[in-house]
Amino acid sequence: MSDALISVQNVVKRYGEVGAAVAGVSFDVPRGAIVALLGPSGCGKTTTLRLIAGLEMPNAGAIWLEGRKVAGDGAWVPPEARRVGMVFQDGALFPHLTVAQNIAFPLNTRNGRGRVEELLELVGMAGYGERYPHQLSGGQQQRVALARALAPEPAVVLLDEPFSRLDAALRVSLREDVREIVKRTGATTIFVTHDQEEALSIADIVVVMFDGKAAQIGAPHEIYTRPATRQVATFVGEANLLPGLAEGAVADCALGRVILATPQKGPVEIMIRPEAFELRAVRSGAAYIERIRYFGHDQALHVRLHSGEPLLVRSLPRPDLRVGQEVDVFVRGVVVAYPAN
Amino acid sequence: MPRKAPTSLVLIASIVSLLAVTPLIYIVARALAADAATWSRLWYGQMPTLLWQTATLLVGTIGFALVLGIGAAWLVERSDLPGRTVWRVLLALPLALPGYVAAITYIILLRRGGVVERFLIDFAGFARGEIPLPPLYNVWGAILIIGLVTYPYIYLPTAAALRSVDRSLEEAARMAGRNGWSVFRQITLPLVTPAVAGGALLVGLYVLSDFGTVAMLRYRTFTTAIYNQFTGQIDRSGAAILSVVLILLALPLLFGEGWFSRRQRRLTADTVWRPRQLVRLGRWRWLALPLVSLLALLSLGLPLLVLGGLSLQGWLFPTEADRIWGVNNEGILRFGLNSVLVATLAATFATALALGPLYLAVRFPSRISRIVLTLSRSPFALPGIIIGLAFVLLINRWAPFAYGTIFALVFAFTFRLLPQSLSTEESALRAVAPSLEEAARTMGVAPMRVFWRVTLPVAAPGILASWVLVFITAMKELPTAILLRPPGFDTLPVRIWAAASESVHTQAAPPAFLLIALTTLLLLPLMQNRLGIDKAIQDNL
Repeated sequence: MSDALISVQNVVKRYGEVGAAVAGVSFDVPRGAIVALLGPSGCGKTTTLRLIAGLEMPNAGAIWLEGRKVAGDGAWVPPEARRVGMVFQDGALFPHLTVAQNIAFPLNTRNGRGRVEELLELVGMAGYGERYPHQLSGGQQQRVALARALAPEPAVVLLDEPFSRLDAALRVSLREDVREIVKRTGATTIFVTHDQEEALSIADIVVVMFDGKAAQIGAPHEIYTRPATRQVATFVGEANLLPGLAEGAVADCALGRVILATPQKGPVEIMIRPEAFELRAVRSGAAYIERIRYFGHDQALHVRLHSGEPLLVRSLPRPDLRVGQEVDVFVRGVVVAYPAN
Repeated sequence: MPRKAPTSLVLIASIVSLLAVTPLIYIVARALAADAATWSRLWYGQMPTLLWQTATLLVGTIGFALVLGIGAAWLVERSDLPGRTVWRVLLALPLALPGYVAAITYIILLRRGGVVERFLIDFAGFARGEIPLPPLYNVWGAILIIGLVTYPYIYLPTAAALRSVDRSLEEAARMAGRNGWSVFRQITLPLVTPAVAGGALLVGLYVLSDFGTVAMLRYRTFTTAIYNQFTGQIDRSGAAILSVVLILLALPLLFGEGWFSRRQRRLTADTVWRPRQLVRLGRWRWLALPLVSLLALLSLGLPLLVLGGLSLQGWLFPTEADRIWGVNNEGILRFGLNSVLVATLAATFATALALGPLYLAVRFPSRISRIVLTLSRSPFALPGIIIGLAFVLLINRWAPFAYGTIFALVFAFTFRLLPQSLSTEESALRAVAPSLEEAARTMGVAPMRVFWRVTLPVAAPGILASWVLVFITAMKELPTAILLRPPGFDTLPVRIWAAASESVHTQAAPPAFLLIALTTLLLLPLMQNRLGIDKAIQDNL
């Protein structure tokens, strides 16, 4: 196969008779990369992760880890023989073992002690070895779970919504730490999330999944600025969708003429991100400001074109933009268009 | 929200707890007041034998029940045993069987001149007396019979623990490089051990408090010795002394059980439930299936079949003995109604009385409310024979006019059942979110009305389940009834007991069959209930 460290090819997983949880997913992960499986709940992202872990057996397709076929066409390597570490949603720390015993669990007892100290240090939990899991906070439990997953120096680390049970502020700081820790160990990492901000900020590659299929695979900025479908566009961020008529590299819409990222022809739906607009306060313009939601670091403006269409615009707070103000609207850069149905 | 508990609630709960603790205090006082001669006579006379007999029965029964309970739980929860959903319920049903009914069944089958011997003489050409029948009247017989009716105490909590062990823990162990067997040994087993141990201690408590089974098998333990002391001696302090020793034996089991159940709750707290992969039995299923069937047959099937068959025979072809014993429709119906009457009244009173201390403990946790709850639970440490004894002595002393009335009987039953009501209702009350009551309060509803309009209706399914469980226990209760029943007022267990005492065991069949048919039918719907009632069941009985 390819030289990817993880390769998932046309994998299908059905539960009973009702549809497929995973309906033919393929992607490759280069060594050392961090991949996010992003999608709404029920899209099959967790099942995909469990297939890679070996906790589920695919009905069709194949999975390679480190160039070794671990599932598909009669091949099967059980989870304990895959050299994969996993962090579960709730940590899954063994409640009857101490933190140190949890981390030492996957290790051979001989070189255990020093390695446990080293890992506790790595995840910032030095000195917590003798505690029991129920004595730790949610964030600390996930740090220990990560240390346990990393203990046998696996080639692959899988994280199943590891931050979803934490509160917002903790989530942000912990995910930055986790990114740094797995980068330092050099492990190839796949994590599952339904939080687009989390996926875009942590991952090198994002796989967006809908209905058991990969809708788009790409770098975070590609996913955000060049979403492959309307569905991806609205899932990974706020999107304005305007009807228009494409004519090669340009299209005409209520905002006038815009430049398309890829040439198209005929009726299209044009997707413009809220921060791609530029507003200019004028005495009499094409639109006016209906409402302003102020966030501090920026603000969201509900703008209505005189032709009737609403627009969502994000801008830095500016004194000249007030409710009722007439504005002209400009679009910065190129835009993405989808064929209208 | 640490509010102050309403005075009326504290008052009611305190009265209940004081009444509940009275039998214990009285028995201890009676024992301490006994003269030294009585103490030393018992201590050097009966005590060593009793301790040895009780200990061997205890250890043997727990061991046997452990094998049955753990094996059944694993097969039902973790293997692809054919018909698991049916077995799951069937294997729990022996809970409805009192040990003395199982004992009667096996005595009828296996004694000299019993069903098995007559069958072999009539159809297999054996001569009388030359058939080797396993003797039941020894420690092995008692272990076998009590084990068969008590293994559900281990089976139910073990099965529940196996179900609720977070699946991701076992998956995490596999990801850490362990194969199936080491995952079971290093993760699953330690996580269910407290549940197993708690169940084993419940079996132990059953053994210590059992009176009917050992009495019928003529195996001497503390309970039968207490009964003999009570009926055979003019001075009742001998019975009190033996009671105190028995209570001291029961206490460590009681506290141990509580400790293990708290520990189990910590090990299997909130989990995401996903169906788990079952162990394929393959060819082993042809061993597992007969074993499970045999267990169900021996514990539940045989009693129902044998007692049902004999009842039918007596009804269709009544003999002279049947007529003398009044074992006809009318008589059985009357005993059954007596049982139902007492059990209904006692279960209702116990359910209602338990609400006071429980509500206080659940909503207004404090040192006082904890003490009140513990005191209310104290009758749990007293085997039925001791409660009966205590109430006989108390009533004779303070209210002799009530002795031999149905009021005295219901009163004693109520406090015998109170601890069970307390623990089964607790989960029902805890299931009512405090915010529901607070919401009602903010709408201007008075606390008392909130309890009637919100708390009780929401907790109702759990309370009803608790009532049924307590009712079943009341139906089965033998020693308290023997000691306190009004003359001529026979309940089903008393009738069984009387027939067994006169060694006309077949005459015990109709009341026994009616009793276990009723209790089994009542327990059946609870087993399938999803309202956390299987939890309530495993917490208790």
